Amino acid sequence: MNYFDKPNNIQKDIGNDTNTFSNNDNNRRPQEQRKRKFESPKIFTPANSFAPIAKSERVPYIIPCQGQQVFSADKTRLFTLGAPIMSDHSSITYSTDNRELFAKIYTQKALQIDLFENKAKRMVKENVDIKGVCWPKALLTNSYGEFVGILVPSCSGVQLSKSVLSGTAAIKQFFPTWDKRDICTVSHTILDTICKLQKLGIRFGCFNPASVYIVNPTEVYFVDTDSWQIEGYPTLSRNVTFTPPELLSEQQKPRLFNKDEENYQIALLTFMLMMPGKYPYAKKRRVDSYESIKDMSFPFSLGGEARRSADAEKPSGAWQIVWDHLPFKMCSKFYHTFHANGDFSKPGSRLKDYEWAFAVEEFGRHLSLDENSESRSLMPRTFRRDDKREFARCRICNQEHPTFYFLRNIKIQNEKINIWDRGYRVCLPCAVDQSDASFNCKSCGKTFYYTNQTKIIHEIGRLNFDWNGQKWCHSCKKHSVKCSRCGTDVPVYQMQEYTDRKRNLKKNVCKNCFHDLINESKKENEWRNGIYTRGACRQCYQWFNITNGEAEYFKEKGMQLPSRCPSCRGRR
Amino acid sequence: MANEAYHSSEYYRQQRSMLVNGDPRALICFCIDVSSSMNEWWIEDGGLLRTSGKGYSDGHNVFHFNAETDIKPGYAAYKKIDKLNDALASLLSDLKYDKDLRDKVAISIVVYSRFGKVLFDFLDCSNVDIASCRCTADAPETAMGDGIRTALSQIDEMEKDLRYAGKDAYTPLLIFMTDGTPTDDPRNEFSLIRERVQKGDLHVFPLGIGDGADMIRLRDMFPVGSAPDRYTERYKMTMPQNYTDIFQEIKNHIKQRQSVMVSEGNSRQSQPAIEGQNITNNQMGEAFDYEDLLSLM
Repeated sequence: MNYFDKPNNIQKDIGNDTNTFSNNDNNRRPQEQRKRKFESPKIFTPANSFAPIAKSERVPYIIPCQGQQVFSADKTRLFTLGAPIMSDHSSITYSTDNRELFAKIYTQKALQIDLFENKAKRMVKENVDIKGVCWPKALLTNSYGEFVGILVPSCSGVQLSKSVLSGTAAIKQFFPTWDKRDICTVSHTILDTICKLQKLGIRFGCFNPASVYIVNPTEVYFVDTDSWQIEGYPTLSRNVTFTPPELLSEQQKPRLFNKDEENYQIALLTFMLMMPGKYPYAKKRRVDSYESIKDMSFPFSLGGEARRSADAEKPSGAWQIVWDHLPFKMCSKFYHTFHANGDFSKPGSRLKDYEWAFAVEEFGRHLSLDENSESRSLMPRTFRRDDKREFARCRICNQEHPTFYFLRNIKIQNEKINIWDRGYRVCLPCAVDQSDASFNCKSCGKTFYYTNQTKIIHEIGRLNFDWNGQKWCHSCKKHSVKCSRCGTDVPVYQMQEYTDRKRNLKKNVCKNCFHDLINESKKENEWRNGIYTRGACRQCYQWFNITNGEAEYFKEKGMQLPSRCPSCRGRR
Repeated sequence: MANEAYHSSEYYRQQRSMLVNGDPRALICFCIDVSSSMNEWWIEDGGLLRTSGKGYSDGHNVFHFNAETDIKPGYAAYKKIDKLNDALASLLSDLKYDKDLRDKVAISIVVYSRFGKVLFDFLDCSNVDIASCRCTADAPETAMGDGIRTALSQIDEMEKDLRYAGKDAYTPLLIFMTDGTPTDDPRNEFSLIRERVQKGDLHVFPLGIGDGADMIRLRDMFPVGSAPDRYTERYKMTMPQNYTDIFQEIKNHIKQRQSVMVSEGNSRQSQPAIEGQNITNNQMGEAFDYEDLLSLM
C-alpha cells in the first residue's frame, strides 16, 4: 500500500493541514485557497542586508570532542559527547548520552567569528516545530561557559544526494521496494516541509541535498538547519548544482538569496526528484557544467513549437521514456522553467514553491489511481499508453512499444525500403542491439557482432551474404601507426613485422617497405653467396671458393683470407 | 557503410545497461604496458642466488636464472605481469562488489606493446567478468604513444555514447602503467594528456612498475606544478605492498569523486571538518572564507 493510497494517514502525518491531500478530486480546494495556506505570518523577516558579523570577543580555548562533556547554555543540562555522526566544513555532529539529541560542535576556526553564535541565538529564540526539521533546541558551551555549538534533535536515514538524486541504482540499493509512487511521496514530504519553512520566512540560501536524510517516504529529516539563511545571516557555502544560472557568473561570495532564487532551487529539486539522477541541463558538445547551466540548455521538448534547446543533446532511451511518463502539466512547468526561452525561466517570473508541491501531489494521486500503469516503474521500459498511440510487439525483445518506436525504413544501395510493411517488427533499441552474426578481426583477434539492423539489411539485400567476408574491425582500420622505415601513417592491420636476423632487430613496417626489405635481403643474400675469389688449398691443393660474405666477415675481423679449403679447416 | 555496424559483445552489454540504468557514470580506462619485459621477475635485493647467463631484451640487460632453484627462500619475488593482474583483479573485484560504485563505474582496458589495442571495451563494473581481464605479455616493444592514443579515443567514444544516451558523466580517469621507457615517441600524446588534465577533462594516474620505470618521463603527464607530492616515490610500484597501496588510493579517489553529485562538475568542494568511515559528509559545494564574511561589514 502506498502513501497516496492512504489519505487518512496523510492527514495524520501532516498535522494541521488536514485537508491538504484528499484522494477525492471533488474535495480539492481551489488553487487560490491552497495558495493562501502558505501565506500565513512569518516568524523570520527575510532581510536585504547582512546582519553584523565581527570577530568573536572570546574564542573558546577548548573545543569538546568525543568522550568530553558539554553544557546547555543555562547550565541546567550536561551531555557527554558520543561518536561523531556527521560533519560539514564548519562543524562536527556528535551523538550524545540522550538518544533523542545530537550535539553540533563548531570548529575553532568557525568560532573565530561571531556569526555562528549570533545566528544560533536567533534560531533558538524561535520554536520551529515542523516534523523532520532538526531545529536547534539550545546553545551548548564548554566547561568554561564559552559557546561551542548547538543541541539538535537526532535523525537517521540516507542522504538525499546519495540516494534519490544519485539515480535508480542508488534508489534500488537503499530502498529496494520503492517505485515511482514512493518517489512522489518522498518528494511531496520534502516539498511540503520546504513550503512550511518558506512560510515562516526561512530560506535555504543554497539548497544542500547532502543535509536531507530519508528514512521512508513519509519520514524525512532536514539537518544542518543552522547553515540556512536566517534573516540577515547568510548561508556559508554554495554549490554549483543549485545556484540559479544568473548568479553563476558572479564571484563566489556570500549573498542573501531572494524568494525567486529559492523558487528556482525548489523547481530544480523537483525535477531531480521526478527524474532521479538527471540534471536538467545537457549540452551537445562536452562542456563544463557551468556553461550548460548558464545557457540553460534544456534537452527535453513538449512537442509542437516547444522544442528542446538548439544546443542541447537530444535525450535518448531511458530518459526520453521517463520524461514521457510525467504528466503534461508538470513537463510544461519544467520546460518553461529550465528552457532559456521558457515563460518562467527569467528571474522574477519563476513558479512558486507550492505550485511544485501541488504538481507532485497530483502526479502521485494519478499514479495511485492507475492500477497497472507502467508509469509506476522507476525506469519504465516503454512509453506511456494513451488512446492516440498504437502499440506493437517487438519480435526480438518481445516488449510492446508504440509504433513510432519501431524501425520503419532501411537504406540498401541508396534505395529506401519499408521493412514495417514487410512484417519486420523491431523496436529502435533492438535494431542497434547484438544479433547472432559475428566475425573475428584478423588484426586484433576480437569477436565482433553485427547489429540486428545490419542483419536485416543483409537478409533483404543479399541473401547469400558471407558474414566472414569482414576481415578487420573499425578500430583496426582507423588505427594508424607510423612505418618505422618510410614514416608514413599506415593502418595497423597492414603493418608487418620484419626481423633483421643479421642485426637481431625487429621492425614494424608497411606492406611496401616489407616487400622492399625482403627484396633487399634477397639481393644481399645473393651477393653474399656470390664468389669473391678462388684459391688453391695449401694442404690438399684442391680449388675452393671464397664468397663475398666470407670475405666481408674476415675483413671485418681484420684477418687475412683463408688459405685452406673448408674441409681442411674443419679437420684442423 | 551500413554493413559495418558491428561491435564487441561488451559494447552491446553496456548499451543495454545504459537503457535501464540512468545513473551518471564514471569512466576508468586502464592503459597497461604488456611488453615482454613485463614477463620478467622482480626479486627483492639480495634474493637472487645465482644466474645462468645474461641477455638483452626490450631495451635493457636481463639475467637468466631458474625461478624454482635460484631465488633465496623468504625473499619477495614475482613476475611483474602476474602481480599486475592480481592487483587489477583485486581492484575490479572491489569495484564490482561495492554497492555504491558497481553500477556507476564503467571500466575499459587498453594494452600496448607493439601497438595499442583494446582488450576490454567500456562496461559497467557490475557486468565485468574479472577472469577475462587478465593481461598477457606480448612483443618486446613499448609503444606508449600508441597506447595513449588508443586509450584516449576509447574514452572519447564512450563519452560520446553517454551523451547520446542522455547520461551524465564524471570526469574520466586514465590509469597508465608502464615498466620501462617508450620505443616510440610519445611527446605529442603526453602533451594531449597534459592539456586535458589542465582543462579538468581528465584525471590521470601514471604508475611505474618496477625499478626500470622512467618516472621522470611519466611525470610529464601532469601540467607544470600539478604533479602530486612525492610523485616519484608514491607512484612507483616495486614491493608487493606498493600495488595494494596505490590501488587502494585509486579506489579512494573514485569513491571521493563519486560522492559528489555529477552536476557539480569540477567545481571546488570544501572538505568536512572531520572524515571517517562512519562519519557522513554533509558538505556539498565550496564554503566561503570566514575573512570574506568579515569583509562584508
